[in-house]
Amino acid sequence: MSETERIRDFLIEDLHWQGTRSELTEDLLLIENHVIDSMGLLRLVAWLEETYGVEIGDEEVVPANFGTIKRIEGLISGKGRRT
Amino acid sequence: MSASTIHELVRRAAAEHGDQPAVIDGARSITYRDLDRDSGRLAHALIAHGLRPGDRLGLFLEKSIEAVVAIYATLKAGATYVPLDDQAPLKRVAYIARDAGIHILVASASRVADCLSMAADGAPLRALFIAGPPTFDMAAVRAAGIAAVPWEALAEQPGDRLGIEVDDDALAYILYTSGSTGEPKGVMLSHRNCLAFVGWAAGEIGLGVQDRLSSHAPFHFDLSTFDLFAAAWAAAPVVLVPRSASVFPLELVRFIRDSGITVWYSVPSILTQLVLRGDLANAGLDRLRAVIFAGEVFPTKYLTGLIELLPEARYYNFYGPTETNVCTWYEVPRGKELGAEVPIGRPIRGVEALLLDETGAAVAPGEVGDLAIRGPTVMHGYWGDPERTRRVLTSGPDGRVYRTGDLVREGEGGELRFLGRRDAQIKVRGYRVELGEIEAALNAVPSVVECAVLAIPDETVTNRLKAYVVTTQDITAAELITLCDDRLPRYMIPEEFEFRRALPKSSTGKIDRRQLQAG
Repeated sequence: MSETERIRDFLIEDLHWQGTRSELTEDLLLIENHVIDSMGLLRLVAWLEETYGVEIGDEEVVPANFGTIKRIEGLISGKGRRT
Repeated sequence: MSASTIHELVRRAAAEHGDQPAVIDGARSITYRDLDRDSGRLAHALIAHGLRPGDRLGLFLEKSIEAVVAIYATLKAGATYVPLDDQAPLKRVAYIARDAGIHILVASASRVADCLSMAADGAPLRALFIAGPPTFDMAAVRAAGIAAVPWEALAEQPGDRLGIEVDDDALAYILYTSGSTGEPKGVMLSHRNCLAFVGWAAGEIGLGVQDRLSSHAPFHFDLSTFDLFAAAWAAAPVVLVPRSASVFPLELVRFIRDSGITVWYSVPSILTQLVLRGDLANAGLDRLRAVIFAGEVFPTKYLTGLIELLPEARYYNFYGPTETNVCTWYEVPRGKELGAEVPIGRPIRGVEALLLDETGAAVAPGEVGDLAIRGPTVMHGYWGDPERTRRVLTSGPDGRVYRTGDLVREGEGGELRFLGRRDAQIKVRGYRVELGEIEAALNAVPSVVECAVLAIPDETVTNRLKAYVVTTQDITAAELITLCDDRLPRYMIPEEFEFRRALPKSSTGKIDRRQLQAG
């Protein structure tokens, strides 16, 4: 499964996003469209850290890294390259 | 000078501080003069479409200047506003619209289709006022027999004052909260209920025109009444917190600083996030002078951390269920070690706190009692539900008394301390949740045989929800959620599901929650 798909699964199955899968595109604005709320963000960060064995600093928890699925994927793959 | 209705606050602010911003919404803002004028125009238009004193008007739009205009317009028309959670499942919103008998909605253009499906689901809608650009299908609305009024039409309305006298006992708003039987219940609050709290709070916090208040809570949450109406009381601006700031702690800290907020009010879990992830040590929040929290218990360790990081501000714990408004308060003392938990304090001005036993008699000093509240902040009852109202509200010569169901004890210093609930009501991030409402939604799924939902205490969010479920066939948690998520708002959906062959029972045959809790 691609990383994008795994993130999408998490948003649907664990954060209970109530829209359809096809609406949840790589570029959908996750905050504005209520896919992620404040507690959902915390769970997402914890899940990414555990699933990908990376550490995400507080300064990285910003819209530039979490605004869309593409940006989340970019954050994770960037960390993968460094390690 | 005291006002007897909420909308008088805006008239007064417009007359005395007309150029002062009333609401700041991102790059947009509106002055008190314009808020007074626009809400008057909208009131004229609402009346022209049949809104009468005592009617309920639904708000179905994102928090915005338009939503605030609509609130004051409704009050000026002598009607009652009902904020609908625009994040809740449509089925729940439609239930509320039906229950409250809402004929007129102020909605955002993006929700027009949802409004039509609510009407198809039995909500008696006659007119839709659409905030924002008219990007919706006007023909579809008209075809449903509903009048559609675009926001631009308001400019043509007369600006003169309405000749409507609104009594201070008239209902100002109905706030729906979780109900144990599976449907939300509407808490009816009057102008007087609201102003008894707001006037006290504005005085106690010392609000003035130089202040800037935050608006973090959604309008269907009772914390919002302080944000909006205490600001109007002081002719101070209220700053609407944008979604992205409320999700990212660092953004929120930046937002509080850059928008110059002086008085913050929210549930504690948001403040906990700022302590943990907001880099408050370098935040530069010099203007923030008062931090008020309410809605759930603030764990002492995070409150202590917050005070250490922002030592200049004053800290207030406000307590009170929606039914009583804020009814007790406690200012956190400076330079003193905090105890195991923060007290809920003493009654606000004009309010009495009674600690009662099962028979309704006062408990002995220092004993645990059921907290009952008497005074001008106590609600009128539950909308359309005299039976439920009678169970919690008694009327006597000294006014209405509401039994909160919260267990409290009076400490030696006279401060009240919250100890827990008598029933299965819990808090999740400040939201009131009846476990019975979640269980009713799960039980409505055909393959569910029995279930129990438990609250697992968690320091950062107060409680996490866990469901124990017995089903007749294999079903995944995700499938189960899909089958009941049209009835539950997201904060009520359990984080964890455990499927069992059976649930433990007590000797009376009831599900044994204690045994489940023990694992």
